[in-house]
Amino acid sequence: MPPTPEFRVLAVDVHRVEPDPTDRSNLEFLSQTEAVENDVFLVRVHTSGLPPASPVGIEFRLGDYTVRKFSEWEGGVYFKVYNPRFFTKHGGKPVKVSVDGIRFEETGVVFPSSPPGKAPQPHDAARLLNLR
Amino acid sequence: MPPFVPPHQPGHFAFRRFVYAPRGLRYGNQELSQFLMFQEPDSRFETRTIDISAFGIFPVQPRWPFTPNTTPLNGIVFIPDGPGPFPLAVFAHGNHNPLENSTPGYEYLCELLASHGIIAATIDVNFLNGRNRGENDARAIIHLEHVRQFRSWNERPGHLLHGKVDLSRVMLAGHSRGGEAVGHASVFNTLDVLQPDTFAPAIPLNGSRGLGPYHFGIRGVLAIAPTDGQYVPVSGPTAVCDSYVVIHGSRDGDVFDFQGYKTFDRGRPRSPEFKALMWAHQANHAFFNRGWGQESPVPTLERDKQERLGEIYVGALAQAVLLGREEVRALFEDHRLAYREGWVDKALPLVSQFRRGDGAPISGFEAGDAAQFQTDAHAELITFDLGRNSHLFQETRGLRVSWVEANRELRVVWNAGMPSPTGHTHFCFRIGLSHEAPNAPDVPLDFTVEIADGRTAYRVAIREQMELIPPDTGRPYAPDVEPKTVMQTVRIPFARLVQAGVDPARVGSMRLFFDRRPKGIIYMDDLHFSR
Repeated sequence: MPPTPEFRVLAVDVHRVEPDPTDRSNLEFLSQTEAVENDVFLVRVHTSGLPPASPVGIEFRLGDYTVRKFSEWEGGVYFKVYNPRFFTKHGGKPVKVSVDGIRFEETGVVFPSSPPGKAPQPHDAARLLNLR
Repeated sequence: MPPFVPPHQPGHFAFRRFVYAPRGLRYGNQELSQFLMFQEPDSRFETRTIDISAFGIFPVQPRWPFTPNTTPLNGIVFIPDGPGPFPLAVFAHGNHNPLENSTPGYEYLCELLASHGIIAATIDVNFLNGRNRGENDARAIIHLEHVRQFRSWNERPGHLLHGKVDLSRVMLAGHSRGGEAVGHASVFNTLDVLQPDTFAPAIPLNGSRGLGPYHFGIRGVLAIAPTDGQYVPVSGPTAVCDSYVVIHGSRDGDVFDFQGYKTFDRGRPRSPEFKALMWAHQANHAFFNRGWGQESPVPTLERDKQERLGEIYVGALAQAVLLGREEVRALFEDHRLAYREGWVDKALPLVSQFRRGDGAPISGFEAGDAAQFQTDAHAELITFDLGRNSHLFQETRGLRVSWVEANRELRVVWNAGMPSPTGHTHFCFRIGLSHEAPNAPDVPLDFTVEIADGRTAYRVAIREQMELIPPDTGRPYAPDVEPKTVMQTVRIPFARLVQAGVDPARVGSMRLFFDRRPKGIIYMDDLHFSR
């Protein structure tokens, strides 16, 4: 698939969201070995001009770290983070993208260094992803 | 057994087509109009929904009338007329525009197999399509759950398929990301529990959570232009353990880097199963699916010719592993069978590899390897992975040999009898040409191969044994993506050695004598004995 020059990463935002049943299961599993919280973190990558769905598809890196699993929402792509230490580890790193797996280009966007603080009521992930 | 019919030609069975799906699906959204076929499945083929939320989530767009917790088992199946039991083949598409139903694109292959007495289905995984990544474990689970659906029908008294499905003879086929997924499915089929990711708990596959048990008799796994490694199991990259065939086109404009070559290299087929590879010059990515349009920016094989290639290799694998047709298994050992039989135009270059699981390795040029090499040319052991845009993108080590003067040679030496050739019939290796100078574009290279037992040697010009085809320089992607070096398996029968007075049990060296071209570069790997 030829690169689409109009494809851009515009911003990254992070929201503390209420876990869904799969998230709860994952948190329970991780809590045996890691200091996780009761909430999960929804990372939304806002893009413009996402290239068409293709076999190779797009790839994201935070510095040299590859985001191996993500999905699509109408504003771009998103993934979930279970351990707040993820932000300590990857915060401040440049968000890089590739549409061919060869050339990873810096987007000018930096991954946030800290997750949102605890709130009385976490956000609803479905609402943030415009599922409702 | 009925008389042999070439793999791409229809067989003798009449068959019927059915759409299967759960009851009550409503694709009310106009943009999902291509999926209305699943709203009204044949009443005899109603299926269930499964929960794949532990493995994958759907992209938010389009709005499907179900969720990962209620994933439908939708498909189209072709069932031969007759009492059976019939083997089963299940096809899955890969990533594509989710609004375009990719499922019917393999009906032409299902019809072919059904005419040969094989129940063949093509399944709906469109809801996982989109601008996502890492979901190929979910594709694999869905693929296996479809097979489980057929087991359910097979066990249900009164059902049209009761007693008609032979679950000990199953073939999984997948294209693109679906091609990666069938490799994972090969491994998942052996598991009772699976931890999909490091951050997730293990999921039972024993039926207690609605998934599994599997343990089907998978006889063959076919990957058509697959991706590789988008999903990596917690235990490490997938090594397919069933008979595995990968086919890929040199002008693939999507998976331009031939990722399936890596899956092939990692494959560890159980004895006596095999792995095979077919690299088709000029073939693209999309034309194996009848519904997908051209993706390659350069001229490619016409759709009808590429579909014929698909029919030949799908049909051959199915006939070989599901129907026990030994005569067509030879296609995987040597693709020239397709030329000799007139199945493929000789003008279309093909490259092939074949490796039996019970072959006896002499040297794979890996660390700790007992074989040694000597040369007065230039030879180096390298990892055949120089990056995705390079001509080498594999998972193996091997020898790179170059020479710039005539009559140079390379000799590989090992202790005769280690390993023992007993029980084997061929001396084998894989060898290929790169696009690099001084190799000339479009000019096959030639040299002498000598196999010796210490007293006597068998000599043959490589061109007489197997033509080594230069890489396709019709770059599929971008100017800086190099034409792929794809090695060709060379299989020299012991009978030839014996005719020359060479005792296979005493063979302890192979020499490549570069006497026929003054300069060149070759890549070589995987010396072994095989049947």
